[in-house]
Amino acid sequence: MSGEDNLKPLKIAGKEIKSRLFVGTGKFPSPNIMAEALDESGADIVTVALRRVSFDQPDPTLSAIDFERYIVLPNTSGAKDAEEALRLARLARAASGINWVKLEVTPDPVYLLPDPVETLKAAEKLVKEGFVVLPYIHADPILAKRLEDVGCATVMPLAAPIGSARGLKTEEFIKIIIDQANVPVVVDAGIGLPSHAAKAIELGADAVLVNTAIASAENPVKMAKAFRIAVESAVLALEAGPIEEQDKASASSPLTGFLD
Amino acid sequence: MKLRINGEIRKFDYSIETVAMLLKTLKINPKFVAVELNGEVVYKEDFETKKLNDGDKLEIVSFVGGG
Repeated sequence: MSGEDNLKPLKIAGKEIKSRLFVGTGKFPSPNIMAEALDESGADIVTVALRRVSFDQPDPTLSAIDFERYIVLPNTSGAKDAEEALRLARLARAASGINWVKLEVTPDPVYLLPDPVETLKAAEKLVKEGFVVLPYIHADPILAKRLEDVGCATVMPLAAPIGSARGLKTEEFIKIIIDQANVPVVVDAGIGLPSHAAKAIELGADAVLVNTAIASAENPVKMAKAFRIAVESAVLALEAGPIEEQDKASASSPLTGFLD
Repeated sequence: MKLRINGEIRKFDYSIETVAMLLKTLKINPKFVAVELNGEVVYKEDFETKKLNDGDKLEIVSFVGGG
């Protein structure tokens, strides 16, 4: 890529998404801090979950999310199998009219790893029902291809378990997915630092999704800014045409004659 | 009238005719709310007409923070 190129635009369901940083809305210390952090992050896409309404203490988070400003992406978190994911997706669409869904099927509460079989099953049905499906998966290149084949709008391979902040543990396989995917690749889960997010973009991921690393930081608003800068930096770097890795040294200054 | 709402049995002294009336009784703004009645999604346009019966099971859900 030459230094004058812009990064290939990120398009999901025909919509151009400017920001390569998607942000989750869970775990923030307060709705106000969440709103400020989302603002600082520059995100276009934010995720939400679906839960039973509490009659005693209505959840204040919802009123702090500006549905006009952000593309709100409901997730099916809590689903342990395809049936539950379908149920949640349909309810989310009925609640909001939004037909985008982050498909998340996690039967194991300890590691919260996504079930590949149930995810593929649910994805196929949801695509047929007219949903724009963004599936959360392990960094399995074959699974990513299968999900692309059934019509998913993106694939979202994990870097590490949700909330673990371990970074790009699945780096080698994310690279393969990036190499082979014909849909946008969004690295989602396990990102802990802005450098992890930057690395994912530098590897060629189209976007990253970050929640815990921002929401649970001591200063979520500052951390949201840090992530925005990191992702923008990586995008700029790719557009600037980075040098390639070499085996041998390449001197920065010409080898001198006068010292001989 | 007895209804199972979000896993809890609730007793009402009077009959609640429709989903819309139930939401009003519970003081729930229907804006970002979805309702499942006996396992089936009730669409917003049907809130006013969908009738409730004694013993019905309802899930009333809405959006919360999530990743």
